Amino acid sequence: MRLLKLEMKNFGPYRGKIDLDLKAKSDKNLWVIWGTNGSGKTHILKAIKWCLYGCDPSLRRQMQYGSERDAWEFIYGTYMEDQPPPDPYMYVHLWLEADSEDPKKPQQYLVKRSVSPRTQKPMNPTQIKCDFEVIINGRPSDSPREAIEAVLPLAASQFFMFHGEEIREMSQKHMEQTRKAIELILEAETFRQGKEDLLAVAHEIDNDLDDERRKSGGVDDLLDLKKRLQEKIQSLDNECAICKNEIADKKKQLDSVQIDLAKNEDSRVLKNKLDELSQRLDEIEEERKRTLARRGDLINDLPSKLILPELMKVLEGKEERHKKREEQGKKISELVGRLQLTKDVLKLERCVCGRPITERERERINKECRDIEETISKLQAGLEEEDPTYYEIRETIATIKSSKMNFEQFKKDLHENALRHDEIEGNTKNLERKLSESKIEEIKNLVEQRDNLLTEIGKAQQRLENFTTELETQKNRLDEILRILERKERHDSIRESLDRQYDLVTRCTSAFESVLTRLSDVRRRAIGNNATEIFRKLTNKPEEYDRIEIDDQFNVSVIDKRNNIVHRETLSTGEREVVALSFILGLMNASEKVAPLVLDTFFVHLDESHYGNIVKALPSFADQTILILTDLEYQNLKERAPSSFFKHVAQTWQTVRNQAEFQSTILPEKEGKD
Amino acid sequence: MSPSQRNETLADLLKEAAQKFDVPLKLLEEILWEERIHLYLAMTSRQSVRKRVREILQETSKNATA
Repeated sequence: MRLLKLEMKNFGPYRGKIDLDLKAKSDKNLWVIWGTNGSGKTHILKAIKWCLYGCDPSLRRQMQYGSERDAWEFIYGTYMEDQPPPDPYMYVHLWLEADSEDPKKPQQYLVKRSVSPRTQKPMNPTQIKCDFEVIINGRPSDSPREAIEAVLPLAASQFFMFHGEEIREMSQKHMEQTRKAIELILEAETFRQGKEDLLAVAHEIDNDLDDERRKSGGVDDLLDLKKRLQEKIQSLDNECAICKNEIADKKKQLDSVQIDLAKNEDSRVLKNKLDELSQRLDEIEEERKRTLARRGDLINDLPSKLILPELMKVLEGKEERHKKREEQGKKISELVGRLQLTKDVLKLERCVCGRPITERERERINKECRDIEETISKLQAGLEEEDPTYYEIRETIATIKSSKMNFEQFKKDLHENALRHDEIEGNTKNLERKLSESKIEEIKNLVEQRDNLLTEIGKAQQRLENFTTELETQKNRLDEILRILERKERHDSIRESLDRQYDLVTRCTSAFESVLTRLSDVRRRAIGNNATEIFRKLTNKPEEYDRIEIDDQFNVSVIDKRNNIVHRETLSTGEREVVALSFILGLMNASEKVAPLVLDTFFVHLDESHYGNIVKALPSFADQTILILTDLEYQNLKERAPSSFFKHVAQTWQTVRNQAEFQSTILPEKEGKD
Repeated sequence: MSPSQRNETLADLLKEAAQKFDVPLKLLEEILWEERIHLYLAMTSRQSVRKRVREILQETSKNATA
């Protein structure tokens, strides 16, 4: 990663917009920023780190991406609560380029981080809004944080861009994060991530395998069931075949009988007619029997029929007296009616014409009533007596007459019955003549055979239908079992594939682990060799110290010419800084990542020899180096550095503090040494 | 150590690991490529990397069976 340009507004002590051009030109790869203490020079480093990571590592707390608390410090931290900044908007934009797979086409990044207030007067970090955007080759990245991590991980940034205090601290103790730095900066990180991904994939496959195992087990029972069903189906198939053969056989027999019957069609018709006549004869015989039964009843009534003339004479004698009594009764009835009417008139006060009935008239009506009553009494006294036998004789005569009629009807019925019987008997005899007895027997047998065959065929068809239904049911069950088995087999196949994948992914994980370990070893040695190469150029004791070694615990040590470890405690502060710088530069050289080297007030503890060596070698340390110096360090540099050093300086800036206005500014200087 | 030397070392290590753990070298290289794509370009999510790794495993497993 190479910085191209820094643009910031209202960051830390700076007000308004600041632009720093950091694009390297030919062999000019050094930038110098100098100023007095508190003039804002370290804030340039902080601006770069805040823009990339959103946090301020120099605050020495748990670094947190996009921390609003850090953002708050950079804009509101420099103001009193009652005097908020006049412009509450802050941003840092950083243009940079990073290597891609094609070294000729580096990727262009524009990193934008900004702060704006959420309220009119923000009182704490929760009331500000932080935005972060990374544009890669003109296209916004979906995951800006990961994009920056890919360029230069946050954890590794301390090895490239650091304050003098940081490297001094690093040189004081064992580098606990060295291993992590190696893994992050070198491609070991790729393997570490790869191993994690492979383990996650192995876990996924393992889960899928569990699923498949659940889906694919219990095949033995199904296979047994399948076998039994197949046997049953075979048996049913046989039964069906037997039934079909039987039906075919019977039908053949039936056809033969039908043909025989067809041949005797005329005889069969005659036989049918004969049967019909025989039936009718039977019916007539039945009817004749019923008629003859009636004759018995008629014979029983015969004596009463003989006295009919005598009864007629007796009835004639009684007829005159009966008529006279009827006429007397009729007259009495008329007189009773008339008496009642006359009595009703007496009850009235007025005549029907409205005139009142006189007493004289009433007397006359009363007399008339008395006359009528007298006449009725006379008539009743002379009334003939009722003859109780008259009606009985008349009834008996009627019954005997009816019986006589029935007898006539009986004789007629009997005669008709005899006629019909004779007629049918005649017909029957005619038909019988036409049919010989043997023919009748033959037809009878054929019909019987046909009926039997039809019955047997019907039964066989019923059996076939039952077998077919059962067969269908069993076939459906078998299909279902086959489908389940097919599914299970498919799951078996998937399971086998998953087993292979699991085996493969496990071996891949081991391979990655192996590569990771070997790579760390190889590169640890490479970093040690690179660090030694640089250390040999920088140390003031090249005859005494031999090399830098990084052990498998990632402890950085100096080894002397006698092959003994020089204990950290015996090294001076300046020496430890040189060792730390050598390690960092060795790490950079061994890394596939390229990053600018930012050295902030680094030279404080160095002696003349170390200082000279470092300044001499500085342009070759990195593609891009930014030196941040105090005014004294800068003065020292101008006096001690060779003129060749300043040929590599692209730009020098001076940070200036305006105490009256509580703000800093940065001013460019003419390039090179005077 | 130059980038070409680094790559050479990495290639050697991968080859050795592939032989030692009986894994196709191409498979390791493909998985490594996916991880690189993710780390360098940050254009894909971890989930998609894992999905792709799984696809590579499936394909390799199928080819091995064939």
